Amino acid sequence: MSFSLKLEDSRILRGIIETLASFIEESEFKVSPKEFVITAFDDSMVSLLKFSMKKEDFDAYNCSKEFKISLNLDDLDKILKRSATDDTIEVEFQEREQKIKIKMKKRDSKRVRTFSLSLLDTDKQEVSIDNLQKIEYFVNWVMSPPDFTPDLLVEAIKDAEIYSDILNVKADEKNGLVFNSTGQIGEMEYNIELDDLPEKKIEETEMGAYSITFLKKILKLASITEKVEIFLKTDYPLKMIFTLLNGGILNYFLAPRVEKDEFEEEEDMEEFDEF
Amino acid sequence: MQFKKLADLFSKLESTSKRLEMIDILSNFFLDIKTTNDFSDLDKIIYLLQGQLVSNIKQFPKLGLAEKMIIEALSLHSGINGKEIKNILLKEGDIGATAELILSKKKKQKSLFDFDKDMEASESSLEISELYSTLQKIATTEGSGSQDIKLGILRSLMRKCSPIETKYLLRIITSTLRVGVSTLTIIDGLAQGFIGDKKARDFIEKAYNQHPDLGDITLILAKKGIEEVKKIKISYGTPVRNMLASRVSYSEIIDKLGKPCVAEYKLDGERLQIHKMGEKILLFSRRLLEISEQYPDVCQVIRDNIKEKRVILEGEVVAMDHFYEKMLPFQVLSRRRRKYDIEDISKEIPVSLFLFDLLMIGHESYIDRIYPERRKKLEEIVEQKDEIRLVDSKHINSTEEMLDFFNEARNAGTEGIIIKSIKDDSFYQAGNRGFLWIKLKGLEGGKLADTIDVVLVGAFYGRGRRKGWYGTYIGAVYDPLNDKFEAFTRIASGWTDEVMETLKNEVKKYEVEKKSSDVICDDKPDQWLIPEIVIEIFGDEITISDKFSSLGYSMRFPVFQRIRPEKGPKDVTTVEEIKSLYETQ
Repeated sequence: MSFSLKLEDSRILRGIIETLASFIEESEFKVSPKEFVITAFDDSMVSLLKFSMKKEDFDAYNCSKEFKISLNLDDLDKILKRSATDDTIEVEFQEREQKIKIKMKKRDSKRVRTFSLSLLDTDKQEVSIDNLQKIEYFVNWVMSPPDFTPDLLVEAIKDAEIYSDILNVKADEKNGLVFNSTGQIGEMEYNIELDDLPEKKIEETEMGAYSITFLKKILKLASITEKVEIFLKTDYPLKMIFTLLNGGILNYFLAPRVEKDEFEEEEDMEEFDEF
Repeated sequence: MQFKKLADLFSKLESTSKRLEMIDILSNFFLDIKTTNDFSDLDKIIYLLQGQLVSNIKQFPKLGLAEKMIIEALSLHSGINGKEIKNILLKEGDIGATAELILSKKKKQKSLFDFDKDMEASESSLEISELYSTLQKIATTEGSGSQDIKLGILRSLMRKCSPIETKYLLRIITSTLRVGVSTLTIIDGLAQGFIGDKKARDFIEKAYNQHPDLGDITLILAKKGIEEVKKIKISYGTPVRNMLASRVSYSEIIDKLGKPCVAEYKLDGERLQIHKMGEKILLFSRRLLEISEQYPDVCQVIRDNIKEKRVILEGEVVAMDHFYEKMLPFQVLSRRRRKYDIEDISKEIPVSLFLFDLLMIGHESYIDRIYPERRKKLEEIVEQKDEIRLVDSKHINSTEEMLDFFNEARNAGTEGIIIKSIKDDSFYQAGNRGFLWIKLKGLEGGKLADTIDVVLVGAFYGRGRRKGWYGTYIGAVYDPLNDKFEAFTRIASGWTDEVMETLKNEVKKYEVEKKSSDVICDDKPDQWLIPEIVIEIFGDEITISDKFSSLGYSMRFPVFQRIRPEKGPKDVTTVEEIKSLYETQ
């Protein structure tokens, strides 16, 4: 049994793996007859990523049953970094070999470079994101070129970083979007008025505080992103759906930093009494 | 058992400094365990209570986690940036307390688990056994990229911990877990909790002295009862705790021991406990750690010159000149403490083994036999030659004879003499500092004539030529009952530049921002130290002083003698000894 897939533009796979590798050491790849899925979360479970790409979005895709394989992302990243932008990439897997083969080929050329990478044994339990998917959001907006690229977010984060490692995001019907950060030396604010937002749903006032370290990691994807849809809800995870060039989709959840609520403190007290 | 339960026990124990309360807390805890009949992890619980990961005769592999990495993990886990964590650490002085403070803060990084009840349910709490297997994994992760993997493992550990668990987790990882209960207190707790009888403590202590692995003993106690504990005896492969010598003013020694007694040279080398099991030889240091690899030549000489197949002996290994005539000081021998080129250095620095006691032959324990019998048997089984001999010894009938022998010993380049009882109760008292053995290292009338071992707990920066180095250290003595180190004196002289540099490098590993919780000290040094490095000092006399701590004694004109790498912090001079030294001087 085997599968093989092919992408004529190497940037997608390269970008995805580079981003994933910045979050986590290894990850499980699920290849089924219909789609290619990678789910990963960081060790502290602060953020979670699910990348999926449909069979039709590949330039070639052969797979007759479902495969689950684990790979070291650092090594895979190193291999993919060796590809040029206009390289065609083919990934092949033979079940009996316990490794994958990655072929890079220049367009209109017959030269082929082949790399192989051993699979990892993994005992990681599968993570379902169904419950996170069920969270209902009342505020969301879309960032897409030409007027409103995801680069704008990158800009806001770089501004915020001067002051703090937390980015505060607020959305309301009057002011639109406000990014801000405060530190000992001062503060910054980045305001995008409602009219400036091409596609949005802002029915409530929602706000959240998020770790810049994690935002920066995910925004490495900006260069291969067609558009990104952002969902905001007070004291809930920030959700981002990236639509990538070629049609791949990446769902990203980032847990907020919140004020501890009273309920939780009570719970802590109980735990002490119990002992 | 859940790690959480242990963390709760630790914090209860830390909330009191009263020994009796600690015993109560411990005995309730053990009673609970007894009731549940679940003894998994019980040995590990004991080791952690002792502030270690394994028993004191074993060593857990190095974790290889730098403070920088722990801060990074804590930063990613808490959402607080590293710089801020460092600032809090500076104030708190302890990574554990820092973590607890940060994680109990109102502003907190949530985990995605908090938003998914299904995920939360599948996330189990941390079991002690899992903690051990995870630390084992961290220790064995090596090679390129291992730092990231270790960081990942550490973060997943933290994720399973509450703030208070994280506090102790980080203390365990940084080897700074000091709950403040002494081994004796744990033994009291075990007796009360498992047996319901305080007096049972004596049997446990006796077992511990002959088999210093309290985890093992506790498992036997829990599963099989006190009768089995009573059967625990000296055995091959496990070192017994050393019998120690007391100090008494020289004029009272003969009265204490009775006439006649025996005096032996007190050699300036390293004390070894030797387990000969056929061809296999194990050497244990004073700290009960196996150091056979340091002395391949000694192992061989034992193989060749001890007639018995299986035997446990005690002796002192001393550096010698190449004619095996002159004994050289400990400083020369200490050059053999190394990991590499051992063969070369053993040719360069020859040693002799001077045997002085015998604890077991074949299946027979000699611990409960009187000293003359032990010595006689020892003489029978050793073929003496340059590299292996019995320590010089002499029967003594009067103080005058003792003083003559003392002078002879000093002229031979030794530290002095040990005078031993040969009466009907002169058994080998493992782990005890009784009055069956008395050491004599000096005589000068009225003044202190003996050296004292102190553990360094603080340091002051030097001035002038010593700028950039520590010029002065605070030395502390040990209070075994309360498991505390009491500051005793400031030491500012007696070292060469070389020693100062060595010391500075040694103490670097133990620098902390805040006074360690087991140190009692009113002095305010520039740098606090975790009690670990032991040095020997010599002084004019013990004085009454409350300058340094509640101890009430200090020392006049203390002078550094040497570093004592073979001694652990709990092997230093005790509070009791200081008191009796004051009285006898």
